[in-house]
Amino acid sequence: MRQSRPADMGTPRPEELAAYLDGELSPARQESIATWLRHHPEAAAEIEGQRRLAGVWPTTTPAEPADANWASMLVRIESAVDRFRSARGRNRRRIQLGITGLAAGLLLVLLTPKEPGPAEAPSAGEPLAVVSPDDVEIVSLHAADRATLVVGAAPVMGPLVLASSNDVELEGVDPADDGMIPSIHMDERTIIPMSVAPLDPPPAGLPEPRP
Amino acid sequence: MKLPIRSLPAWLGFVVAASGLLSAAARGHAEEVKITIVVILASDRNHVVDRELQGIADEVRKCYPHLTGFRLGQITQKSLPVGKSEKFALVEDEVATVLVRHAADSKNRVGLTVKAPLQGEIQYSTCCGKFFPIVTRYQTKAKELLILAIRVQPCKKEPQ
Repeated sequence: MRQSRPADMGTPRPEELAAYLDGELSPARQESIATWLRHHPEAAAEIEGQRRLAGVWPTTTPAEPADANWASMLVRIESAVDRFRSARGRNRRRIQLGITGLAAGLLLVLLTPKEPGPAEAPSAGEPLAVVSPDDVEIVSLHAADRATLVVGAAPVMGPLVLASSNDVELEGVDPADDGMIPSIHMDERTIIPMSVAPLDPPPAGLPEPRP
Repeated sequence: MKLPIRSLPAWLGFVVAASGLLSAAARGHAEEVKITIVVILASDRNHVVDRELQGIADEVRKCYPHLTGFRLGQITQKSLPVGKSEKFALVEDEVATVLVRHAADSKNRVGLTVKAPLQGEIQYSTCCGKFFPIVTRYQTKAKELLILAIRVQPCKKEPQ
């Protein structure tokens, strides 16, 4: 049979132990808990540890700021709040100004009559306007580039049609700076009308142009 | 709008003058002649003749049988008013100068003065739509002989 200890009847609750440690209990209850602790060494050791901690606490607690420090901190906080409020007011005015300008710009765009210009990009799906062959005239190109023409006709496409003796009439020939006068073939049945200069110098072994 | 009777002669005068100016402008535009110059480069180093040049190659070879290759070069056409000369780029900075001396005459021929490289001026009149060849003595750096073929347009309708 288990023997009960005298203090078992008054097992203190944790808050009572804390109050005991702070000396806030009635003297009778204080005495009864002290008796109970003598029979419960593990609880007594814990209470002793808490008592030592309470003794160390006052020596390690940081010093409270002085009243002057609190006062200066309050002044700084209040000035910061004022600056925040004024900045927020300026931003609000800027936003209002920007919205007003944007609305005015949109209104101007909507009210301005739209004129199609050369730089206006065609909308998607709209066929590109391409010049017709009548709108463009080829001034000069290399013969090899004729196949690359998309619009417009090259000045010469087929075989060259040469003038006949009935088509051309010679009216004059001036000599070159060195006195050379080309052979002019006109009204001949064996050759078409043509101006032929002698080769200068004639290739070796080759005769002068046939008259 | 009501026209005052008194200003009617002035209005009529204005209309007549404007018509005259427009007519003169139209006539001036009609006096333009389109000149086409085809550059042909002939060589004795190959036997390739461009399809368009077979006819002129045959004719030139009657004078220079050693020329066996004929190829097309630059093709230039310009519309010139009567009395104005114009330079046509040929090859290697060489140019030909063409002057339209008169538009199509009663024979439907246009009068030209042509100055080709290394030779003097040639004056001739020619029908429209056909080429007149000028075989120059200019040789390119590649030893090709420069030949010009000159055509005038537009053609007037032949009288019925």
